[in-house]
Amino acid sequence: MKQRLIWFLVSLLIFSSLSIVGAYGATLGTGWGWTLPGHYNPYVPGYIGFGGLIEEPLAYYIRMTDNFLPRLAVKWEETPSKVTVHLRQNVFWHDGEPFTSKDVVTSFLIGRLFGWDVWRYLKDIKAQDNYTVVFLLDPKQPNIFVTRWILTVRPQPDHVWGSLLPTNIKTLITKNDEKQLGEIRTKIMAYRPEKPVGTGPFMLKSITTGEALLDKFPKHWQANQISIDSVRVYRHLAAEASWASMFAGEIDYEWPGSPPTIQEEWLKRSGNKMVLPSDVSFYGLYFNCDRYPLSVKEVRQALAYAIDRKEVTQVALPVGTPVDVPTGILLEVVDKWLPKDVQKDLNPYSYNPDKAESILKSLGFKKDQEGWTTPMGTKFALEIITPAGWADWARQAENVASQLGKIGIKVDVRVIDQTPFWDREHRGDFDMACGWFGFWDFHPYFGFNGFFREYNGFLPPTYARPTYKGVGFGPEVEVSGIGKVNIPDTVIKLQTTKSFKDQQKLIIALAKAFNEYLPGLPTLEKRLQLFYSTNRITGWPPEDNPLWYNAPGDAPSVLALLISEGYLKPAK
Amino acid sequence: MSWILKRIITAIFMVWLVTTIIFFLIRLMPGNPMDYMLMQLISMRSMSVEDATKLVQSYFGFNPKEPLLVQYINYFKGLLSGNLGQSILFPGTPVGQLLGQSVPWTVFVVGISLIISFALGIYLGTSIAYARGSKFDNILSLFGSITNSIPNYIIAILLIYVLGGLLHIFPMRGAYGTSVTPGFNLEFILDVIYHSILPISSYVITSFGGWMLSMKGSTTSVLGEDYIMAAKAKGIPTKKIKNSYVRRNAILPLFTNLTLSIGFMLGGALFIETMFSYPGVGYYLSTSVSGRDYPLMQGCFLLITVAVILANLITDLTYSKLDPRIRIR
Repeated sequence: MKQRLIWFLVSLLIFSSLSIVGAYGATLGTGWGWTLPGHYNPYVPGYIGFGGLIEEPLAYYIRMTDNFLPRLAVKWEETPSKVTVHLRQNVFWHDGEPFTSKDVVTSFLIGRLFGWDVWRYLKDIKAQDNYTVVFLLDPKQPNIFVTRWILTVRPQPDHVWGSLLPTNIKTLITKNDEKQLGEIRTKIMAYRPEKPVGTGPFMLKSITTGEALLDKFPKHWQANQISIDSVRVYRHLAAEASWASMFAGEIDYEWPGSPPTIQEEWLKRSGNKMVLPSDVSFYGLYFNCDRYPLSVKEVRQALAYAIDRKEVTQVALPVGTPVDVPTGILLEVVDKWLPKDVQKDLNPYSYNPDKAESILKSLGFKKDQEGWTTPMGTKFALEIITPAGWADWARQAENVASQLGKIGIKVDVRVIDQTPFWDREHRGDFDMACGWFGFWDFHPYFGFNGFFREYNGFLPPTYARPTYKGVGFGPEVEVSGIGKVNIPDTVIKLQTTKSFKDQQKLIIALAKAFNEYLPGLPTLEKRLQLFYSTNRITGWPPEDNPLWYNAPGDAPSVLALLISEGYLKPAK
Repeated sequence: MSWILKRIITAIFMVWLVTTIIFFLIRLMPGNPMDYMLMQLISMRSMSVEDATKLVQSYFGFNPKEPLLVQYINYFKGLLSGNLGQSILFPGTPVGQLLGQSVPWTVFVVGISLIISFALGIYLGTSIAYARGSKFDNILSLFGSITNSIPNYIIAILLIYVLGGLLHIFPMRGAYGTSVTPGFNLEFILDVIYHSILPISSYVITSFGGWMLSMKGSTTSVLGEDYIMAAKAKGIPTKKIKNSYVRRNAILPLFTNLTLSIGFMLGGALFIETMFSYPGVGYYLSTSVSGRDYPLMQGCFLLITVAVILANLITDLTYSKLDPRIRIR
């Protein structure tokens, strides 16, 4: 009886293993995590998206070159009062329906209900004909990025979503009839399409909790130059799972954050490569300018001298690039925006712990065996908060604490759960906090807006919250060689200033203010680790290809671009 | 009979008490999802406070600023009518639905793992107790101690890499493959079994050692009892003494642990589920805690609470059947 049972179990195992034979084909393998149970309603959290592989934007904004790569739009014109977008013809949705201006209008109208940013600058949207959409701009809210925000939207099909909008939707929006708009919103949120319907190069064939299989869309407008037949997306919820998958040879392209040992092991294997484009962001420390003694500019400067940013980089993220001169502007575009004569006046705060000590002493701080005492007689001890789960940020915090400890400044590192961490950072409940700079765009506006406004309590006054003060810097400071600069006003002005020269003036003022007052200290420019293999798929472009720089925040779309632009081909 | 009724009433009271404590305790945790999302909408999308609040209300289906007591009363009203509320992280999805989808997977993988590791532990524990001091005992005891102290996700990574990645014997993730159609068909069932082998193995490898060592200790103490000596003196066959006298008595102390483990089983195996992208309760428990999804968190904890208390109740009610020396007073 026992033997029979054993034989039964063994044959069950063999038979069940046979059932998956053939599941692994010669397809491009990649991986990332998505939430379960997941759904295909892009207007509700929990949406399973596949980036540009399934849904295409009107155009991709290529960050590195500051230009657009047309997709569903072929061309566009911008005037002070409107943006006219001409759509590509003979484009089809995955269910066979043609793509028209109706799809764009419906998508934007639904987006209006869900508070899309772009609607702050728009008055109306109209379909001029089947392939032309006109966006009327709000003259009271000019913004130099509005065209970009219009073009990077990924439209949804009107034949799927349009029936959820009443015919008088525009009237309801104009009247701000919140009761009815709320009901429509609820209806849209409750809707769960069976499958994602896009116009992109791939369509969803099947999905499980572990992987998704995307097949080439034969009617895609670039189908003739797409050489990859299918993409298998593995659901990886942890970097360890990604590494196992990579070393098992399943992966042709993935981007898990990895320590040097993993990178070395990957590169040792034949055909494996890695590119390290900028993450288009820095990270570093936010100083609470509202809390003594960090409220004293010179104290912040002393801390900057006491922190070796090269060491921080080595410890936190060796593939990162240490920030040579803190300005708040990403390293790749410093030369574009800051003339040489401006750059030479900036303080690099090169590592000099002796100088840090002498600054503190000159301010009246006293040092003894116990550490430092402030001129107020209190102990000079600080805390750095950092979010749980972000190992490189935690390593940065520990290293900074250790470096400051070397000159006698006691620093405690506190690792906090993600949700309360961001809450405390926004509320300004910290001494020092790990934080972002640069904010994923090469234009300095985004970095300054993120740091000087979003994390500094200077959202437009009507939107302000009483408890929201962030870093607590400004609003008005006296900048050497420039005079008084109102920080949030200057950032706002930047978003409406068109000419390069005028933008440059504002950027110089903000960069100089940042450099002189150091409300934060960016320590390193983050680099993404994009792993790829040439064993099954070839044609990967070199590291300086601008497309790689679109990976931060949307690595699947880079894959979509590399495939649809004809770069990637199966290896012979 | 009155004792049974008393135990049932106590169990119900315990469920209410623990659920109430959990309700308030999770709201004492720093940070909440509503404020965070509100802040994100205001800052990232530049929405007005009014617009953002409306949107957050639409997402969550309730007013985040409602007084705690009102929230508590509403929660209990819903609970009594079988409504666990709507998930915050997955708007529009009832918590009951999320748990309903994930519990079977957890029960399947963790349940089978528990049965296998318990059975294996009991069998090997008795065997090594009989062979105390032998090489067999030393090797198995050492092996059991080591595997029991290794976190299960480490074993999971090893198995994924070696058996899944290098040797391609088993699938590396998921509950079933893309090539089968979910439903009551043989191909799907076999694929589910096939996909469960590595998660089950990870759990069994890291947990059977604990059962085995406990069983060894328990068996060793039973072997010294007078009635075993008497059985041997009577000439009862060794196999019968081992199975009917020793094992049955030695297993009793482990029975309570087993029923508690069955209760906790519904909490899922978080790391194993993460590594294998398995759609169990552990995934939702961890997601809800990190995302401060109060209703989902409450649902997961309620599930665990009820299961543990129920398991305890069953233990109390059945213990006397297993051990006739104990009688209900």
